[in-house]
Order: sequence, then structure tokens, then C-alpha cells
Amino acid sequence: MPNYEPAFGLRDNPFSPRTFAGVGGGLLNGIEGEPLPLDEAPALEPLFVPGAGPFQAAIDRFDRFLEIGGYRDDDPGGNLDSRSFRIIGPEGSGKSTLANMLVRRLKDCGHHGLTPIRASAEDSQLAESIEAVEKKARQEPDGVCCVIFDDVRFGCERPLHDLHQSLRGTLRRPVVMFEIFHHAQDLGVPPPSDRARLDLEDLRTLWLTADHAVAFLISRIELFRVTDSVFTDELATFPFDVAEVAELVGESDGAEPGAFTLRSFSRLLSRGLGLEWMARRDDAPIKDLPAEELAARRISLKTFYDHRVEEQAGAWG
Amino acid sequence: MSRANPFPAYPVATLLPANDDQDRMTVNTAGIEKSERLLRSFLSGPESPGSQGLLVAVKGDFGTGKTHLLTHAENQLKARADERGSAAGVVVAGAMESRPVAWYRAMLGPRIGRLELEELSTDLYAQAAVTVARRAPLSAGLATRLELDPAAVHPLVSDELLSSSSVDRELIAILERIVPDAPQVRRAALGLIEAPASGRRWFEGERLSQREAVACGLTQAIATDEEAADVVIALAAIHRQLGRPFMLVIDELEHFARLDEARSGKSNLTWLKRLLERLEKEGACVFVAGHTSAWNGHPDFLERFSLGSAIELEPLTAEDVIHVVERFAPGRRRFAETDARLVNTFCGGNIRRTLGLLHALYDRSEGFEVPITEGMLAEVAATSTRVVDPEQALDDLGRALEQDGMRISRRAALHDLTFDLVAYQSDCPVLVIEAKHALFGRKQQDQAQRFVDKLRIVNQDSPTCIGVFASSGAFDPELLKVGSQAARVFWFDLNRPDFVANVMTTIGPALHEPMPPDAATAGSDRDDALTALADEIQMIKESQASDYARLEDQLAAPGGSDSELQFRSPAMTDTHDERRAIFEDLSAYPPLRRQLALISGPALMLMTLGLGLGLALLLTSIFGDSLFRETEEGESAQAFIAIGGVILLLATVLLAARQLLLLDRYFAFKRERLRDIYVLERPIQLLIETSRAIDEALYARGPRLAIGSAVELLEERELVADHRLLRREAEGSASGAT
Repeated sequence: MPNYEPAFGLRDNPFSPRTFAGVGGGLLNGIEGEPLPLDEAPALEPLFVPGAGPFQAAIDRFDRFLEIGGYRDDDPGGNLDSRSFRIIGPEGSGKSTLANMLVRRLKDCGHHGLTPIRASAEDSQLAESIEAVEKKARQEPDGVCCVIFDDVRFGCERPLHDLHQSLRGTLRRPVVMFEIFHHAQDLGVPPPSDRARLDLEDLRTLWLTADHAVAFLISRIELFRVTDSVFTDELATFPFDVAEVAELVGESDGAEPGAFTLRSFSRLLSRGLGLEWMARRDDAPIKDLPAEELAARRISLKTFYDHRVEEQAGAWG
Repeated sequence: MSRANPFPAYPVATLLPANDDQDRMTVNTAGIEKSERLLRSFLSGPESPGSQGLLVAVKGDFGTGKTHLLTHAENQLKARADERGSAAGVVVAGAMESRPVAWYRAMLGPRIGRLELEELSTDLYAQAAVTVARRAPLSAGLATRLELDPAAVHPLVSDELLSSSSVDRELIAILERIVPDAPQVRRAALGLIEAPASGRRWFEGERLSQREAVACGLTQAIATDEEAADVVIALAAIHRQLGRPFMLVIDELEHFARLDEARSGKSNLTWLKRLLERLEKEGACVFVAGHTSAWNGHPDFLERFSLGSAIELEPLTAEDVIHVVERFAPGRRRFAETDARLVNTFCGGNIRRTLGLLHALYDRSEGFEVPITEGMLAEVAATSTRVVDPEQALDDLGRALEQDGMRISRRAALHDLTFDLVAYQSDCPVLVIEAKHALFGRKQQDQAQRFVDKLRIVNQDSPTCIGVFASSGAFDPELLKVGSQAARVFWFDLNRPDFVANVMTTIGPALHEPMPPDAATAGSDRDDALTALADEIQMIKESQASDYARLEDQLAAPGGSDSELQFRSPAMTDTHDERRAIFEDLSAYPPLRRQLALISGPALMLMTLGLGLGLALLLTSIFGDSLFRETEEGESAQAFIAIGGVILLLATVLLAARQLLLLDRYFAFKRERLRDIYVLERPIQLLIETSRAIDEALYARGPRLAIGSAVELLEERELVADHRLLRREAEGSASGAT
């Protein structure tokens, strides 16, 4: 198993760790490119970086719903509000991770029946999915009904809205539904109908900005930094240079299409660090090096990116 | 030793793709030189190739070289664009006497299918990716790489070295900018990236299955004239966006105009005018060629063309004839001006006739080593086959049929099948004609078989319609004896000087014989039939409108289902020979042993039981004398058992015969379905899938219910082009079975 400590002063690869306290190995496979399963493994929460996108704003809005909707009341028998949340954003921008995070917070309220029902809303199987969700929901006699619909396409809002109403009406249970919209439909989103708008809330994820990238990098490196390593503030993100990352990721404000998303950035860092470890694993440990030499041994994000491009170039021939 | 004759035996230019041999023999006439000047000016626009559009009208009589000029212009544009490092997109199609959307489906769409559509969409996608890559310093270097190798865009995006959502969004922004008024075409262009096979088929004018259409967010097929125009405009706009020249070549305008004349309207030419105006704005180059008469009737149409760009093809001069000889047979110094004048006078300046005559004279004059004489010309006129001009021959035949009281359509479509000429009586097709040239007997046989197949499809709705197949080149009446079955087909040698008279004499009685009672009833009920047809069309339109509305509601542009049947384009790989071989293979009647094996379980059980019991009774009555008492009752019982045995055996034979009859009907049905697909030149994959579905029905339901079940399966799997026809046939078949 690679030891990142001598070369980088890190306990593991911060972007694709093989182990994490309290989390089974299976959940970590390919974690750099997959949504964080925060609802299943709350211990993974430290890997979630609210500043790596507009996640904190979404969490705050959801928390407000939990407050106002009665989910955090002490009285367990009180009436609970129902709501659908549309999570809309580019592919790889953290929509599913955000949904998992919100489900985690819902579960933390301590109500019954909070095993989320997951379904795919791909057009060809929407009817079957809705039927399966209704069937599963009926099998739970009481408690909050939580549904996560992935791959939703615009145009499927009406059947999902009807499902929401049906679950509320027939089961007489509060329903919290997350609809994760497929990226392609974010290209010219029509407004939902007025009828659906009443109990629908939109949460958005965005393309990666320089600030998001820096926040993600700092948070992950800090989390995996070996505590007895001594780095100056300037080298806090060693082996990466925060200023270079901010400059290279670009000036997108996240609302306009940028070149990267959180997932592509995470994969880039993970693959790059892995490759760099291969090159440096036999070098002298960095803890003995003076700060000036450490600064000189920082590695360039551009190098990683070009390396990935070259890898692909090999594939094109 | 005789020299090889360098002049073509069949001097008719064709709009075949990459017709380099034809172009190599181009003689620089005034028209050719003018077309080259116009193309040079078109490609040297101030900003980029085709920054200003060019509309060229080519006028001339039959045999003046219009089609040859068009193919020459096509090759010139491609070659000059290649020199500049950009691939030109050229769509070449002959016009038809039909509405624009039908023309699109039959001619233009398949020709558009020959464009490198996937490459075009990839280049556009790469252009979007370049814009996205430049937004971040980290990926800026990628832009240069993508400009050099646009195909790299797919692995780069799939590996998330660029955000796929960003590239998609940028691509949509580009398409919205360059194709602002045609959302369907924009979606089809996106479909070329997400589901290339479906997107391509939509552009080719084919009908998508419901699932494919939903997956791509498209209507099932191009349904209106406007949509057909939008597709052509969008292609021009995409080429312009990529800095590639785009050229549309339309030949035989007169066919397109003739529908307007027949309807006393202007809708076809108005559609074409609008198309040309829009293409010019998109910087496209358009060549439209037609017989002089087609242009003369529409001076306002001619005004749409770029100023000074009309090319009027004149008859050849004697000097031109010398140039032709120099081009085809260089070094024939003995072919003098007097010879050229003789040839030109004989042919009236018609290039086709000139080439044909030169072919004939070359052999008679020892390769032009001896002077041409009047005697030689007289000999050619008297003995050799005439110089074939199929277009002229068909026009002459059309006129003769018109004088016989028929309405004529040239290049008309029936059941999506095109014929060179269709003659109508009381708006019912009574005669379809196809003229073909073949150098080899096998090819001629193939052409004839295909014609018979097409005629049989027409006969399903017009049983009295007869067919005329005119063949030139390797005409061999023996070879033409292909299986015409019930269809009435007549074969003619197009080379014969009395071709028209021969056709009229031969088919006259067949054309004027009274209609069969069924057909007569259909004729008398024509108004009812037309009303029913109008209702049916209205229903289809409404169904399409509701489909369209539903699809509009769904903003989906999902990736296509992998399990979806992806048909290959016929233009890509399937050859006619392959298609025919597979059709014959799949539709062949199996041997009797195999047919017996296909008899369904219960029937087989009954037959076995009947056979066993019948034989047992019969044998008992014959050899079991000891079992019966020698009394009157005993003998009666013995006779009764013998009769029972015979009856059982007879019943078994009858049951077997019925099963075989049902199987025969099933195989006929299967062959008909496969023939429809084969004749329409649909992909081989579709032939195989249809055969498989029909066989599944037989295995699952047995011979008695196989046809009905097969119809349901075919409809369910969207494997039929015309559901109504199929349903009607199945109903007919079911009533027959009952």
C-alpha cells in the first residue's frame, strides 16, 4: 500500500484514500469520482467540503426547511411538512453528494422510516421506477418517506409531482423527495409548472471556480496532513501551490460553463498525486528538508493535467 | 490490330459520387470554363471560403452536357477545397416530380447520408470544446491540440479533462446561433453525437422508431417541406461555421416544376426559391440545372440566381467536335474539320449523339485513319443501334402516352419507390416505366428483378398497373425472363430506333383492356376511397402532431438505449448484391421435411394419433380375422373397423395438408414482408430482424396463428414501414385461413 508520508507528509492520498476511520473499504473504492455516500457512512462527513461549491447555501436552505417543517421539534407526533427538492447542475458538480448530505441531515432528526428509496428516472424506465417506489413506500407502515430520484430529465416533473402527491395522499405520511436532474437538461431549463412549484424547491450546483478548487484542496490536504509534519503557512498545501491552482482553474464564476467540475478536479488531483508518488517513493523523506527546498519540490497542477492529456493522446494514437 | 475504341458506348453522364472517369474526359467548352470561373470566385471570398453564396442556373436542351457540367463543378469544388485543406460538403440529387418532403426522403436525404455527418458533428463538438478549453489557463493548451485533431474531443470529454456539461452547453449555444429557427434540426445534430446511428437515419429521411425518437428528442421523421428545407439550411450553416464550403447540386429541375404545372400551382418552385435565398445567405454554392423549357416558364425564378451566373449550354460547334476527338483519341490528326462538320451536322450539336456517333465511326474509319464519308454516316444511321438517349426516349414515350389520354409523371414516386415514368388514367397509375443501362447480363437481370419487385409492391394497391422495363447496353430478352409471377411486365430494347412505336404497339391492348371487376369497383368507389384516404392522412397528421407536442413537452436529450436496434445506413456498407443474397436466403421456402418439422405440437400429436390409430384399425381388420366371429355381426364389425381406420387415415392426411397450406401461406407472408424491405433498399439488419420476428411468431403460435402474431410483433418492434398495408394484408390472410 503506498505510503504518502515520506514524499508528501500525508497519511494517504487525500482525494482517493484507501482507508478512513469508521468506514468500510468498499465504500471508498473510486471515491475520487463517485458521490460521497454520506447517508450510509456518516463517518465520511469530514471528506465533504461545503466550500467546494455552493453546498453550504443549499444545506442552510434545507436546514431551514427542517426547522420550519417540524422535523427538529421535540414533539415526535407533530405534523411534518412534505417537500420536493430539485438538485440541478452540471455532471460531476456534486449533486448526488449534496443529496446524500441532505438525507444525512434528515436522518439526524431521528424520525422513523428514513431509509431512502432510490430510483432512476431515465425516460424509458420512469413508469416502472414510479411503480417500484410506490410499492416500497407502502411496505413501510409509518414514518417519513424519503425518495431519491436520480437521472431525472426535464419533462418528467409532472409524473414525479403526481407521485409526491400520491404518496402524501394515500400513505398519509410526510414525503421528502430529491430529484437529481440529468446535466443535459440544465441547458435551457424550463420553469416547473405552477402546480408543481408550490412544494418544490430548487438547489443548484455549479462549475468549479478558483475559490471552490482552493477550498477543496486546502480542506482535503489538512485532513490528511501528518500532524508532526512541520509546514509553514506558505507550504500548507504541499505538494500543491494554492496560488498556482487558483490561477490555473480559471476565472469562471460557476454560473457560466467552466472547463472543470468538482469531480474532474478531484480525479485530476488524485491521479496526479498517485503518479507523483510513484516517481518520488524512493526519494529522501521530506521531513528532513529545509523549507526552501520543499518549496522547490512542489509539483505543478499543469504537469498533472498535461500528463492526463498525454495518457489520452496515447489512446488516440 | 484494331485499337480499343476510346469513345463511350453509353454516353450519358450520371450524378454518381466520385465520378472521376467521367470528369477526366471533360472538354473545355464555354459553359465548363464559366463554371470554373464562378467556383474560383466563390472559393476566394474575402473572409473565408463561401463567405458569399453563389447560385448558378444551368440551362440547356437534352444532350447539351448539363449533368456533365454539374459533376465537373462538384469535382472542381472538392479538389479546390482539398487544396485549401478543408473538406467540402457536396449534396447532389436529381429532382423528382413530387412534393419537396417526398423528394427529400427519396433522393436528397440518402445523398445527405453520404456526407461525413459524424465527422461534421465531431468537428463542431471539438469547436465547442476549444471554446471551453480556452476558459481556463489549465486547459488552454488543449485548444491547440483539439484544433489539430478534433476527433480527440471524445476521449478528452469522457475522461473529464473538460466538463462534458460545459462542452454540451457550448455546442448548443453554437447551434442556437447558427440554426436559430429549427429546434428539431438542432436536436438531430446533437443526436449525431449522442446516438449517431439514429441521428444519421433522421438526416437521411428515414423513419425512426418511437423509442429512438424519444431518446433523441426528435420527431420520428422529417414530415414537412419546411423541415426538409431547414435540414439543408442547417447543413450549410454547420459547414460555414466550420469554414468548409457547402454545395448543393440539383439536376433536372423540369421534373420538380412539372408537379406545379400539373397542379396549376407554384408551391414547389416557391419552396425552392426560398431554399435558394436562405442557402445564399448561408454562403452555400448551389448549381441548379434544367431543360431550357423549365427555365423559360419561370423568369422570376431565374432572377433569384446570382447576377451573371446563368450558364446557357449551346449546341456543340465543329471546333468543339475536334476538341472532343482530341480529348478522347489524342493524335488523330487525320480527323479534319470537314469530318467534324459532317459529324456535327449529323448530330445537331448534341454531345450525347456526337459521342455515340464517334464511337460508331471510330470502328468504321480504322480509328479515324481514313476520312469520314457520307456513306459511313448513312451506314451508321441505317444499321447500327441509334445513339441512346434514354431521357429523350422517355420524353418521346411520355408524349405518345399523353396523346393516348394519359397523365404523365416523370421521376415519380409510388409507395416511396421511384420510377422513371408513371402514366395515370383517372388518377390511377396504369403504367410504370424504368429505363436502365447495363453492360453485363447479370446486372441487367438484377435490375429487371428489382423492377418486378417494385411493380409487385405497386400492384398491391393498383392491381391493373403494368410495367415496362427498357434496357440498353447488354439487352438480352432471354436473360430478362425473370420471375414476374402475377405482375404484368414488358421488356424492351431501348437501343431500337422504333422503341416508342414498339412500346405503344405492344402495351396498347394491355393498357386498354377492361379492368378486372374488383378494380372497376374500386374505380367507381374512388370518391369514397379518396375520402377514406384523406381521413387516414388527417389521422396520421393528428397523431404526428400529438407526438410532436408530447416530445416538445419532454425536453429530453438522453443517451440512446444500448439495446435499441441500431441499423446501419444502406449507403455505408450494404451492397445490393449482399442485400439480394440475404433476402433470397431468408425468404426461401424450406424443404418438405423442414416444413413438417414446423407443424405445431397439438396438430402433430393429432396427426400421429390419427396415423397410429388408423393403421391399427386397418391392420386389425385385415389381419385379425380370428378376432371376429364368422357371423354376420362379426363381419359387419370387421368392415366397420376397416372403414374407421380409412377415415382416420384420410383425416390425418387432410390435417397434414391443411398444416402445409397454412405454412405455405405463412412463408408467402414472410417473403412479402422481406420483399418490401428488400425493394425499399432498407438495411440488411432490418431484413434479418424482420425475418427473426416472423419466425418467432411461428415458433410461438404455430402456423394457424403465426401471421396475426407476426403482425403484432412487427408492429411492436417497429419493423414495418406501412402498418396499414400490413394490417390489411394480415386481415385478408386471416379471412382466407378461416
